[in-house]
Amino acid sequence: MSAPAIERSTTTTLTPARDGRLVAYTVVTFGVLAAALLMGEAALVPLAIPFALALALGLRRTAPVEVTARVTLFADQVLEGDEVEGLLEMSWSGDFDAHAVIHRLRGITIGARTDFDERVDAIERLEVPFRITAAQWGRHSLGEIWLRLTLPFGLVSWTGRLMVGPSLRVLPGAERLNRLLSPDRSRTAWGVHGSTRLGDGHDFAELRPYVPGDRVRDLNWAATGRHRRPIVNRHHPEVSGDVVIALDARDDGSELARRILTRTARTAWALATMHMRANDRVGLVGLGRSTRWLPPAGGRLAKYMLMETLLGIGGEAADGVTTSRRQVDVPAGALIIGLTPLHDDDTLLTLLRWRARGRSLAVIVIDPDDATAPAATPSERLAARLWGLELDARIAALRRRGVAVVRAPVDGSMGPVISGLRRARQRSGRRVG
Amino acid sequence: MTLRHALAAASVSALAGAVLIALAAGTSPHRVWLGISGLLGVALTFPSLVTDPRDLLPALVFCVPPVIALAGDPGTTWLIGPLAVLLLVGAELGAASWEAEGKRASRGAGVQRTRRIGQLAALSLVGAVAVTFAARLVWLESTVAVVVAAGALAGLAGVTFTPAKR
Repeated sequence: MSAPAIERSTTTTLTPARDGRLVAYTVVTFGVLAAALLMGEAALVPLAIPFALALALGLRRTAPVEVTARVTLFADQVLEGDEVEGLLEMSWSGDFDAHAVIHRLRGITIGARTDFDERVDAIERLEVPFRITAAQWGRHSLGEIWLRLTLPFGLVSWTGRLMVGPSLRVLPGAERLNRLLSPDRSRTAWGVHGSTRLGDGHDFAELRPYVPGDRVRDLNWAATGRHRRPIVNRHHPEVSGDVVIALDARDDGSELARRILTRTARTAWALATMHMRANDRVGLVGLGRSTRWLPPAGGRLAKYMLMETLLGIGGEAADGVTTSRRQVDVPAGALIIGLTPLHDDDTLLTLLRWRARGRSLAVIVIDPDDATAPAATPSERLAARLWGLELDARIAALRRRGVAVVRAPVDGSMGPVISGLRRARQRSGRRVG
Repeated sequence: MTLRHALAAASVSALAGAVLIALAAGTSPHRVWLGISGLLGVALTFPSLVTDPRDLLPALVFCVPPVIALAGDPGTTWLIGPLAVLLLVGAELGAASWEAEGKRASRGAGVQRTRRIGQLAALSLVGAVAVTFAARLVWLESTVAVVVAAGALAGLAGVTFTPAKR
């Protein structure tokens, strides 16, 4: 997946900063020369000569340096794991030794690294092609681009941040799903969920005697034969509803957390796409360091907004950004689908709060049990067992309140998980389509 | 041993060598105090190699007195110039070790830096020796001779190291 190139350019003036030798050489040079003059001892002067020379060479240029920098990424939107080529160009006036660094990369790696370090000698222009890998979904900045210029024998250096690189949209690869979860309360728009009301649709609702105006194709011939009078089928109309996907985006920086987050994002996007295709209105809540809330909406613009919000959640998770956390009031009648590893108490409390307010809730617990390394020591085994008990207790707390809960592995197909969730919703007394 | 460690060890060795030679060659009655000063100077080199912000001033200030003391004996004044160059080389190697810090410090950059230090040392040695002999010229007042020599040397250095215009 690719998109047109994006670039960002800037012009920055770097001011000189002194090296750790400058003051020492100055003090020795002038101190020794002063001592030679005061003592009338010319033999001392050769002691000052090497340091005076170093000063003369080191301070031959001290004016600020204007640097023009441009970063180009030859795609602005990729899938997780894709590679993107880029070009870093910098130019200035004069021959300097240059040391360029890109750091604070989040969700992106350059080769196998998470930063970039390039040193070259005595040039006026630096062009460095690079290749980055989109390691984690979300909207990620290329990082901060820093430059340090020095002169050969120089005692000052010019260092500064030139810019923050352009942003790259990294889309999560979608899970393949073929089942939908039915919203709690249908809206009047046509969709593919069954309704409690009667009307045109595919799902059978009841039989009733024929009345003038009924369609002939609705006649139930078997029932007509048994009752010896015309009997017709009634159907549920197919309508759409509101679905809110609650995404637990807490990331502790570990590889496992990243995998869980990737799984939740892929599943969220797949669910959102499926429900939107069914004319449902889909909303998104990001439950992470910050709360992101996109109210349910339908249509192409809503799908675009959903993707932007999802990428924003991923970017914040990767960057460790904390903005604001707040309670979200999900509309009544919307089905909330929670995607969470249930690692955090706050997530559990939020889900229980929604349930207490009468919201219909289904939760997919991303369980990393299979993905974690087996416990090697008794203390690790004990810790794993304790965590297993704690997770069971959290799931039981949700189930006691009528919440449909299923566990999903970190890897593998989500289709069976969605089927399991539908069955769990049926068991918990919720209506399914 | 990493490049940084090698450069830092060379820096300490150069400064310690200059102090030891000065103490061995000198005839000052205050050699004990000069020795203490030199020892302190060498000891202060270590923090300058590891602490931030980098500062070579304390190390150099305490390493210089044993070399200054050589001026008291006409038979050893010729050593002042070469020992000053050794002090400069020690300081430059210390600064080079700062640059070599970090996992991706390039060995090529370290070699390049060492070569430049060699160039600077050679030029400084020529200058110091030239000033030493200029100060001994009988047809000029010694201070005037030093100023003339220093000016000529600065001019020479400027011509040598100014980058060519493109």
